[in-house]
Amino acid sequence: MSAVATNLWTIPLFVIIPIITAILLNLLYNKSRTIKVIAIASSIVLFVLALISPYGFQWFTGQPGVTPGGTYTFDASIFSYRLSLEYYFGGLQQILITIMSLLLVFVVFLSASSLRKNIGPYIALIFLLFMSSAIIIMVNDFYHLWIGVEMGSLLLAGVVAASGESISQKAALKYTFFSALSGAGMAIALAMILGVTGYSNITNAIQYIMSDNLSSLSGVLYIAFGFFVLSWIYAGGLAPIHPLKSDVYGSAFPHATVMLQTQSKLMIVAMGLIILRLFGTLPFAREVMLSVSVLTMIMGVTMALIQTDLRWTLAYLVVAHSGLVTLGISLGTVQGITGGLFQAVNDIVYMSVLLICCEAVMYFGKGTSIKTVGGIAKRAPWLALAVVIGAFAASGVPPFNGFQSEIILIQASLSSGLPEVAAIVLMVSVTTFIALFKPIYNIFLKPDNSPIAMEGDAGAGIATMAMVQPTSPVPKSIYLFLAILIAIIIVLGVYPQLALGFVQDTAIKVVYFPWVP
Amino acid sequence: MGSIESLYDKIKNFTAQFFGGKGFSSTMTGYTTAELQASVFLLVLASLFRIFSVPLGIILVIAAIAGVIVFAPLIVTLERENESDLNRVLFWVVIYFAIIIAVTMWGR
Amino acid sequence: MEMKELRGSRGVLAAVALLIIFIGVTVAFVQLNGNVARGISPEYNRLAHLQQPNSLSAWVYDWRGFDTLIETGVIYVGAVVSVLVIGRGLVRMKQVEGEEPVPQTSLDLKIGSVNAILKYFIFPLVILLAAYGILIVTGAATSGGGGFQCGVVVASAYLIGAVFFGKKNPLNFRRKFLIAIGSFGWALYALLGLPGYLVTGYWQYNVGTDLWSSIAGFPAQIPSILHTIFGDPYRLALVLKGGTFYSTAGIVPLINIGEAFNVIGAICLIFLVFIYGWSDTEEAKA
Repeated sequence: MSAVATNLWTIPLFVIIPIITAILLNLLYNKSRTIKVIAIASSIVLFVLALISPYGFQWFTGQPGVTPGGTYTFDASIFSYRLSLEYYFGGLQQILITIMSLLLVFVVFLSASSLRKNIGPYIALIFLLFMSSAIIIMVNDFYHLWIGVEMGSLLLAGVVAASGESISQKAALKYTFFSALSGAGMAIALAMILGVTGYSNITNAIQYIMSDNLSSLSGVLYIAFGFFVLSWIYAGGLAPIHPLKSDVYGSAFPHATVMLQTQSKLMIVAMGLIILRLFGTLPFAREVMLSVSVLTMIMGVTMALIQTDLRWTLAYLVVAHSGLVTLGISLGTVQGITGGLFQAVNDIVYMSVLLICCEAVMYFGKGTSIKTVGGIAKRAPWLALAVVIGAFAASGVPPFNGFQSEIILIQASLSSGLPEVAAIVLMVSVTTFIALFKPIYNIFLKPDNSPIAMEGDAGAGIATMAMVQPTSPVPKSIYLFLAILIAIIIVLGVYPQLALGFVQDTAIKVVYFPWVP
Repeated sequence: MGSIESLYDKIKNFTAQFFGGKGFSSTMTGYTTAELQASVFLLVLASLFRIFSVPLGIILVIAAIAGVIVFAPLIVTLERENESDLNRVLFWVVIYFAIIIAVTMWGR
Repeated sequence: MEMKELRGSRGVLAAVALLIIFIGVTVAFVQLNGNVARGISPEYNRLAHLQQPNSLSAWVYDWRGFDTLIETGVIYVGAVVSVLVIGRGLVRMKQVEGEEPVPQTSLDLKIGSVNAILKYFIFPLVILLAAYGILIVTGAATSGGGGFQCGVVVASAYLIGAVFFGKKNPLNFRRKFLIAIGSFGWALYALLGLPGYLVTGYWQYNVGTDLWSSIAGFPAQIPSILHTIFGDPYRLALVLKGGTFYSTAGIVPLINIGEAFNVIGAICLIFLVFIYGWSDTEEAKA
């Protein structure tokens, strides 16, 4: 486990395997069986790679670093200006990419088995979504970060629009419209940083900013910070872009939303850490990020309360919980960042549980609105258990994982002297519980009194009254996926050190050695 | 006779404005909870300004209490401002961005 | 979409906000004026002639070649997504009844109104443009230009042909063909990194040029067979002020060709589908 390897073998594979898979799937187009086999095999390979990979750097194209003395070096631990594009794979990257690839396996399986018509391009886009998220979390280069974000928003539009419904195509179009604004904004920010420092490598740029007196150029840095925050807001769907992002989450297929919310968490983590590393010393930088996070949480959770459809409740809750992640990052202390990163990991897992349950509810054929569907718990009791556990985890009930990260966030905000923020975090957890239990009660627990169910009972008479529960259309594979994810939820809830070990290192580096990726 | 009926109408209209459009029983609980939540959030947010100066925080909390009472169904406004209409989102983005730039550049 | 959101006091507020943003950005640009730092770019320029005369190509496809691979991907994804919105690969959930996607019909493109004499002028133009595109990509290592330019030129030739000749386009590409060459192009670009990866562990190390294997700390020696395959076909003698240099662009010309295929496939496909729409049944017949 040499930390200075500059040709780590696994890093290119996280990008190249999804690319080649996506090209193949796009070509195969409507051969569902072959597509399923290739896609699942490839996603399992990615999962195994993420699990076993050592840590290190990849200097793409093998261009060395130039030392101040003018010699060349291939050692990442030596101070040098990097000619090549640089990726880093460490603890944070490992845990996030591992979880994302596990979810990729599930999402690919679900979409290949629940969708009809020509699934090739759609699954190809999901693989590329994985690729763009992996790029964003590993990259240590401004330009490449920008390309990753641009590609991510384009892929998101494709995945959402693929259902062909007018609501999802509208949501995709609106969100992509804003990518023009924030993509261009990020390009301006990068141009300014590049103009001030001359380096597109983030490490080199930070070293330059820290070593040189840039007080005469502070305005440039402020504007760069503003534009960077704008694109951060866009990528994560934070306030005030959250209505567009929750539209996107709500109108995509729930299994696609699993991938989309993972992508957005990875983006806010990666970009948030970069903003903190670059601009953390600017006055008001953290306050700006903190205010965005607090508003996102408040708006998201309040809007979630008034939704009447499980899909849309979840869409707003995903947005609100992104605010929890960014809150930890924007506190800027080791404890806060650790809590934020841990919250990102937990959030991805428990939101996936809830979204997969939502997908399962759709299999009953009546949608996910609390007005139309009811009595699912009677037909699928295990599903009801899973959704309740997911809701507990999301609202921070011990012994599930949400509790562990939220308590770190509360402690971090208290020790930063912000008890109000701690109170808001608490209120967000409680409100999450209320917002989730309204649809859960109506969909799962309340007896099904829709006209069709009543008619069926009356028409069939006494014979059906004695009949055992009607069969559930939920495939066994969904229960398997839910069981795996719930196992992760409980393990992380009981033994949080397992995940904290991965993320603590990054938090310490961001605070004390911001130039180290 | 007429006065009682019109009083009834008035009360009915007053309560109806809490529930914009989609009025049925399980929505109502959501809207009332959200209304309470929104007012509490507003108060907490106002008190957060004490980190800049304590008197400012006190004034803002009092203003927030007055605001909550005067603009009673907050949730209706909040819901309207959270629409995904492009122009509305664009408006808020511009406002946010201007605040960010103003605070960072000239805030000290 | 109405603009009533931005009228009245909101409009004034938005205008003030835009003014603040404008002032902030202007201040930043004024400060930046004359203070631009050079960074690593002089080093790139110092090294460029060791590889090929077209130093822009060396920047874009070699030193930052992986970056360009993903940028190329943006074009590919753009094509896939645009065509998906039109109808290729829309998906429905098996269990859920929903509205069926509306099939896109073709544009009402009447080529009958085009003057017949014009067609005689346009025909050689299309052929010449396509040939010019191929010229650009084959000379990418020595002259300005490269794969993307070739792709755009050929795609414009295709579009001119489509406008004047309709379905009897001299460049009569089919949908499946365009999808195939686009995919081939991106896959070629992506997989050209494999030889360098297998030998050195650095993805997309330019095994043909092999600038760095003599530096201390480089993990491997490049076998001569790779020099022969990827280096020799593009060997150049550069007569410069400082003397005559022998160099080769290595895998960069091949990458350019992959890029050209990708761009031709992607952009022509967008044109084709936007003009003629997408229909799965028609595609099955073809």
